[in-house]
Amino acid sequence: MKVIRFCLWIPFVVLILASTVALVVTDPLPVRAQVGTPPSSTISSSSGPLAWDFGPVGGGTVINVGIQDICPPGLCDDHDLTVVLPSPAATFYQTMTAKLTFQYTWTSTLPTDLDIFAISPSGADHGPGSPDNTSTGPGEEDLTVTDPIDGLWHIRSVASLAPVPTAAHVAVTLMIAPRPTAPMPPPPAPGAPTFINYPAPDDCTGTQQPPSCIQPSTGSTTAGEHGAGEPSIGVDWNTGKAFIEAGNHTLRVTFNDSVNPATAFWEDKRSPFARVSLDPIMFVDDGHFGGPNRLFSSQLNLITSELSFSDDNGNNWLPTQGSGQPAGVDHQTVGGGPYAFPAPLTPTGYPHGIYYCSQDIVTAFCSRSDDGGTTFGPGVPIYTFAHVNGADVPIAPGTCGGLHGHVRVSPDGTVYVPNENCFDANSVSRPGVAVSTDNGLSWVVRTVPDGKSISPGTDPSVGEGANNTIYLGYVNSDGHAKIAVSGDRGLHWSKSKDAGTPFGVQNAEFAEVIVGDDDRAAFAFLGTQTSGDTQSADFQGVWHLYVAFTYSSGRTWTTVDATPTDAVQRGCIWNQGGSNPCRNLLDFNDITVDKFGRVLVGYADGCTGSCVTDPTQNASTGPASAQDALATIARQVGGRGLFKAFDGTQFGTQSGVIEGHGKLCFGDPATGIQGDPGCKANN
Amino acid sequence: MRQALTILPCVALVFAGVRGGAALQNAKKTGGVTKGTVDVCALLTPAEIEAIQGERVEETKPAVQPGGGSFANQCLFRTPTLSKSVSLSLTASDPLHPVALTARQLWQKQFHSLEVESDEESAEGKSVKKLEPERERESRKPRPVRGLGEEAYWVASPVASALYVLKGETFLRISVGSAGQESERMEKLKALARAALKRL
Repeated sequence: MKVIRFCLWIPFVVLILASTVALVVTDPLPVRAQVGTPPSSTISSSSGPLAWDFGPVGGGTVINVGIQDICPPGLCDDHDLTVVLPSPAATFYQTMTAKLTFQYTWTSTLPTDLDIFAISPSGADHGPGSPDNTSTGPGEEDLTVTDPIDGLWHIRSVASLAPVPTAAHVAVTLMIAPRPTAPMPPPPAPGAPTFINYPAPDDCTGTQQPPSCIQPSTGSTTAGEHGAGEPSIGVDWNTGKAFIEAGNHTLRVTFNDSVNPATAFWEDKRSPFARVSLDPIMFVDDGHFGGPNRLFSSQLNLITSELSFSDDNGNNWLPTQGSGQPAGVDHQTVGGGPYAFPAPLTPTGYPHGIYYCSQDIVTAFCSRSDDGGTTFGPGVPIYTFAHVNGADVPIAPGTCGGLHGHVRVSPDGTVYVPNENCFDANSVSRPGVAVSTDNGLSWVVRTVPDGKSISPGTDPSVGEGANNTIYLGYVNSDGHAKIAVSGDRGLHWSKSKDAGTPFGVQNAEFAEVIVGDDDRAAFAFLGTQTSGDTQSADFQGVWHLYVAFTYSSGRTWTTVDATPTDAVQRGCIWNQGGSNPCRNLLDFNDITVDKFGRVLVGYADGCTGSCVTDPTQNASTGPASAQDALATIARQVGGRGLFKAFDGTQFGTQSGVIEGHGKLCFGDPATGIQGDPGCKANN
Repeated sequence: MRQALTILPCVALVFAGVRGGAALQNAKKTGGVTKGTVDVCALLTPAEIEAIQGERVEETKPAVQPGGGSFANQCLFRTPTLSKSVSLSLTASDPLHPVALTARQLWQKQFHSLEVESDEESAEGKSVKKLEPERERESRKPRPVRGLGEEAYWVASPVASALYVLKGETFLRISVGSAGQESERMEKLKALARAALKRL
């Protein structure tokens, strides 16, 4: 309904917007309206609440074009608020926390939407408040800034839709309190999964030779290891080689398990068809469900899209038909798996259907290949969306927003495309999956009933077990890392579990799920114990990579910190596209499992070098060590994996000698099973 | 060469019209397009698809998807070679939800809120203007196609390009697979769109 109302006001709004643009163009100096009473004030923890009136604002901008940053007269009114803390923010917030809360109210006689914004001394925008909607009569938005930095803030009343100039009132409070002691991370329980992190080495220079460095592929000056935002990961189940791809470089990693800890040898196996890349996606059609370990590399640039594959671990690549042709809207994903019954006749005998899913202007679609990715069928719509206020959003029950996560296929051939923002039957936004049970010929959308979409969103992830149970990991509207389980292709779901609870995780990003045996799954995510707005340049959270394991079909989860001594990111993680200092990690990570049940997480490390030990570094302000995106693999080395057949064998490694000689080396703290204390002695 | 690519599907369509006469008759007999309900699988005949794609239709697979105030009826015309199959969907206003977003409003919102290329021949090799700081939105380039319906746009994809055509309160989306060059696929889809539009 809001959409329709907006349409009615478009002529009026266009006039206002045009005049605003003209004003900005003719007067490059910042325009800041200040007609409120009083125009400025100061608040501290001891000053008590404050209040002031904003002057009338009218018109509207319909879409967020950053008008609050310009604050032209008539559309916006400014109030300068000085925030005083007992000591500078950098030291104060080490032991204390604060909340700056605005209660913003107005009254209107016509449908009106006013917005409040708080712009920090460093220029970070907070707002609009909540609820952000259109109302007649009394209207209200509330805005809370957690841990506001000290200095001069610009608080702004902005007309989003105000046919009649409307004044507003604000009441402000600044509350401080001792920072709650973060719950001590639980000590690694005997038998808990453990990880070793393998960061990619730097490029070889001078006389350097691998394995201490990576030799860039022919024609490349770098292997791109420091530009590894949104990496994909996969493992060839025959050779055991792992692949991590980001940008337009596919890095091949060979682990040597004959030594302890295993060493890693990195090589750049870039596809010659991977030129400039905007949306890199890699997929290994591994042996999990009988795939032949074909390696796919998909690259989108601003002109064309390239999809190529390799059957020899990246030594040689072949392009698929269509590569190099113009690409429109994309955000593609590539996946594959067995066919649903009845399987189509295939021309080449390639055992799996390969799916390429993407979005265009009105729909997201999936296209299937029956010849191992050489050619693809037509794009079948999987849901419809509409472009509203700068975002592609669902428009009816059973539809989703435009951007989706990675396509996965279960052993029974059901195809799943996860999405953070789908409408349930009551048009409530929830995480969900588009599901096809007929090899991609038709699709329905199914949502998780106790999940709520977070905005701005981050892709959820779906994984499938050996008996077709699916696990959907997602970031809930409260920022928490949640996971739900379904045994009937998404028709019904278990109650979602908060996988970050053991560590007090308040905000999460980049949910990634992989499943092995039907009752075993791993759920990786970036998490921080700091609450507040993760999109704000002021956000001070420290992020780690967590991996939660279940060995009980999702009834219980054991969560471990895979990077306990090395933050993955300090500060904000931007997930609204475009360019932002905090977008170094881009939009997702990835997870996979090898044939022994060992979990591998591919991620970009945003905090390297001096950032690891320097808590003053931050992604929003740098330096470069706090804005890195280093290709890194977290590889499981302890605890039970995802295949029961390898329990107690240390993943069948150690040069073929089964560790523990059949004894249970590693227990499961979630279910109280203890590992055999004599296990190690038998190695 | 471009003229040849344009003419060939048209010639093929003439033959298809002759060969597919019976199918067209059947489509009309069964209603084809009626107010409120649309048999999208009747908007194209197997003969038309065979004439343009060079393979017979083995199966038609209908489906319906929701779309706030609109409904999208789909049909997949499957040929032996999957990449020559055709996916056709028709989005029309939903008479049961007249106050929500109509198909035409959805069209306006989706295609006219974006900056589009001014000429369908100019996209490849051209530097792309950044439209707005939204993820991947930079790459949106629906290209106008002249002479189809009220408006038409081509949305390129390396594996499954699509042609959108607006007519009245409905719009079509037609997609084929990755077989052939983009210009060839576009001409084939334009020919198919013309055939479908005749029955709307």
